[in-house]
Amino acid sequence: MSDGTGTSNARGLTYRLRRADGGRESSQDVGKRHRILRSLRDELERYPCVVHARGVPEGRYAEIEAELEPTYFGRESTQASLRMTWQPNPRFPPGVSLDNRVRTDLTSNFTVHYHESSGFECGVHLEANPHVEGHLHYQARASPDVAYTYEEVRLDAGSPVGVLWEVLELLSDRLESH
Amino acid sequence: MTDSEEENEEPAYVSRWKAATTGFDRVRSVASSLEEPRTAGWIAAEAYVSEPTTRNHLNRLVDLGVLVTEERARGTTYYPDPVYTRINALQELVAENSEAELTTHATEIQADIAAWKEEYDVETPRALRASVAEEIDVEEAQERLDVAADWESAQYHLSLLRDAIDHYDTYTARPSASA
Repeated sequence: MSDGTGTSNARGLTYRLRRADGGRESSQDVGKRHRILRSLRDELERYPCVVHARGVPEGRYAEIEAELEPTYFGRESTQASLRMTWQPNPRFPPGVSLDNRVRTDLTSNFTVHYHESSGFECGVHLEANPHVEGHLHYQARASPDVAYTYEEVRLDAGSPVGVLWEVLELLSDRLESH
Repeated sequence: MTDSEEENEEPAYVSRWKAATTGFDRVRSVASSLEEPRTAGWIAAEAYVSEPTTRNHLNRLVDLGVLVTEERARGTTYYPDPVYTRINALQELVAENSEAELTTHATEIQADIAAWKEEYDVETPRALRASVAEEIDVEEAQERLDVAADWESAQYHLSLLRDAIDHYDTYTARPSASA
């Protein structure tokens, strides 16, 4: 049984988890980031049009890359991919903080970005951006040589995998209507 | 409230999620991606599974060593077992890579780290983070913070790869077939 500061596993062993909000958080956060990215990869492979998902660069797992079937969204492009990052407990540049964050209770940073062979790309990002208030936003552009347009969005999900499904629904709506 | 009324209140993404997964899948994936210890009620609400069923699934995952529990003022919380998490990552590495491929990945990570040291003229990700000051513009500051996070992640992966390489024969050993 835990004393309130430790945790118990199946064999009743009790040990201390490092604080999530300070102290030796960096070494814990990197393990947490890897665990979350692997969960997101597994979850992406359950999404109907995902052909394959993997951590990249191979062996380092900085983000998830997935190959998609664009016709699922009614798109005419022959190839599409999705890239996803997740950063728990992100550090912010001077003058930026979680106090600036609205339209979600999430404290992590993430990006979910769709690219297709036509050049069109779009994504939902939760990170500071000078073009949009409150960190959480949708951005899109028709090709790499034009500027992004930005739009505020809202998310209700609070877990990384819930966020993934909610964001994919949002992207699906935008892709089908684009 | 009837089941149909409950379903009508669900966000649109949940229908697609439910069509692709079982309730156990959703409880397990929500629990495996937790950012902090959470109660069964919180996980049930996120996974769109009833709380009693969620509690049963979570207790099975504790029995299997996937999750750990903690007694807190707000009730029992669940969180991924760090030992299981690391062993699971090692299992994946040795299942998907030969010993030579693991060595190649380790060499590539060491090269990435050497490149960051040279580009930013610092020896550690902590020093890179400390170099972010008011006089740097926000985009440059964010890039340095992102690289520092990637650098720490690369060090973590290097530790996993070294573990996998050092114990490759043990981790891949299989009992020989009997005559």
